[in-house]
Amino acid sequence: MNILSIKDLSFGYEKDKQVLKNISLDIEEGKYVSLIGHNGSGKSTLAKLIVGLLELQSGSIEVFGEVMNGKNIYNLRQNIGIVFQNPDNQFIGATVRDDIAFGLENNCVPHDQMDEIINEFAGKVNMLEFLDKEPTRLSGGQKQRVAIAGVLAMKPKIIIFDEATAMLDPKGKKEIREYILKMKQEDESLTIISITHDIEEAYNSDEVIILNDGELYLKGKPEEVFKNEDKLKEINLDLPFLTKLKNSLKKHNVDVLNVKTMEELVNKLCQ
Amino acid sequence: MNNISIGRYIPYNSKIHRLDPRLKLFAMVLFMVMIFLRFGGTDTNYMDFIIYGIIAIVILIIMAISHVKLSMLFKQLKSLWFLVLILFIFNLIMPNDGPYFLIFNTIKIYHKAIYDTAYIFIRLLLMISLTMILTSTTTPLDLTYAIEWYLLPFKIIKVPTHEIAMTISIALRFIPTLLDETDRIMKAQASRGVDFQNGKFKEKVRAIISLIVPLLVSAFQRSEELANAMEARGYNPGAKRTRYRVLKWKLLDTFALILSLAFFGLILYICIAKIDLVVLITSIVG
Repeated sequence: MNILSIKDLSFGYEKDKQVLKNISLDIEEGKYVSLIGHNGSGKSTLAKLIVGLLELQSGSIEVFGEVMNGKNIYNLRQNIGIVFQNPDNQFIGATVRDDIAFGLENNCVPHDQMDEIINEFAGKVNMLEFLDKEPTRLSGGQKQRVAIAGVLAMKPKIIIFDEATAMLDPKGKKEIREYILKMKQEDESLTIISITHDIEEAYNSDEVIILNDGELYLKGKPEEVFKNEDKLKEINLDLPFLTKLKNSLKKHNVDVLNVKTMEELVNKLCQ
Repeated sequence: MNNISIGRYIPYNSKIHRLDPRLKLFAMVLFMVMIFLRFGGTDTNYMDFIIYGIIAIVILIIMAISHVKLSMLFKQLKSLWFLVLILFIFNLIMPNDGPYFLIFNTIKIYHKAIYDTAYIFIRLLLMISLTMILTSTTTPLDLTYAIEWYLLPFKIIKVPTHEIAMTISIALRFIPTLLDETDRIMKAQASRGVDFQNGKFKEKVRAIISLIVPLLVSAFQRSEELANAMEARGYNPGAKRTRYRVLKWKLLDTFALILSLAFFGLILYICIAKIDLVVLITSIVG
């Protein structure tokens, strides 16, 4: 089932400069979708349009089969969560507790249920011991974990990560990615759209969408998308390590084209 | 950048910390009024100081209960001595009459100059200790909620009380973040050769501008991203929302309210009835 379908979407911040050009795409429920492309290719703009932070100019966005318009945006938004790039600028509450509560307050969750929900979701991202800490006393990774908990607490059906790990150190990046995978495992029907520069992450997702210069460049399963080496090289995108390795091996007449994961490759080479 | 001690919350679990912020705010207003009352006539000046002594003792007791240290008060006074000096000089040059000391046969220091300076200084001291107790025992957020509660009646004339409270709490939340940012920008500019400490006035102004412009730009960027984040999480200013933090009035608060009202009533009575405590006590003892 398509949880999100975008039709002929065009958008520009200025009149004669289109950031997005005639984008049409469908996203199925329960998929982990990676959205990649260079800076300025329109990835974040697309995310903002999906969440309804920007007003549609032309084309349409359908969420759960409902066409988004000015009236139903507040209702639809309850089902879409977004985690932004800058950990500091999305921390609204004075403490971790208050920040997770912020979304609950907006959704009119009764006061006596809040503590339970806060504890549950803070526990999911291992932030229970930091509940009363202020944002200045948390690391970037911890703040992003709080942001994830805040989004999860609203029980969305789609979560968008807009380069959520871009400002973190390698350890924080790894952590956040693990939490994302964990929550995907816990809830199969959750749809994740991850805007990323990380080719490896894209390679491990269910589907890859590549935007270039505001246009839909490639879309499909990662194995298929990354087969189009020439097309990727044309827009200077890097290839996943596995693909690069397979290609190098091929040059030495080692046939490993059918393997899909690193483990399989190692096993095959060890035979 | 981290030596700003005025208005910093000091986590502790004292009885004063646990009091309702609405009560604390109200009690502070009562104390402020007491400090501004005038006691006795011109010939019985000492009554002011006696009452200030009583108020000071009460404040010291509150400080002891709330575990606010006196040393913190002295730290804040460091920046105040300059003000006291100016006050004293002003009082010196003001035309005066009455008894005076003579220095060098020409300069007269009137008793009243010393008295007025001490009078204003004690008032300042008391007010600073009061605000210090309030801010170090109450989180800024709780204070915001208290202010919001007091503003509630104005909702009838369409004052956006909730929005005001939300704005204040976000401003408070971003103070440390922006201080960090200031620090970072200063270091970045210093590494590019901007000198913030030395130089003529004109050069200093230029240095400050090189700090303020990037700071403002980044603050605006932050505010836009924050607005996006708030909206994405379902914030709709006009719509109904529930509250996570709810102020709860407890028995202790009622007790503290009665106590502070009683104290206020007593001081007010002494003021209005122009009771001279020294005369009163000597008459009782005698």
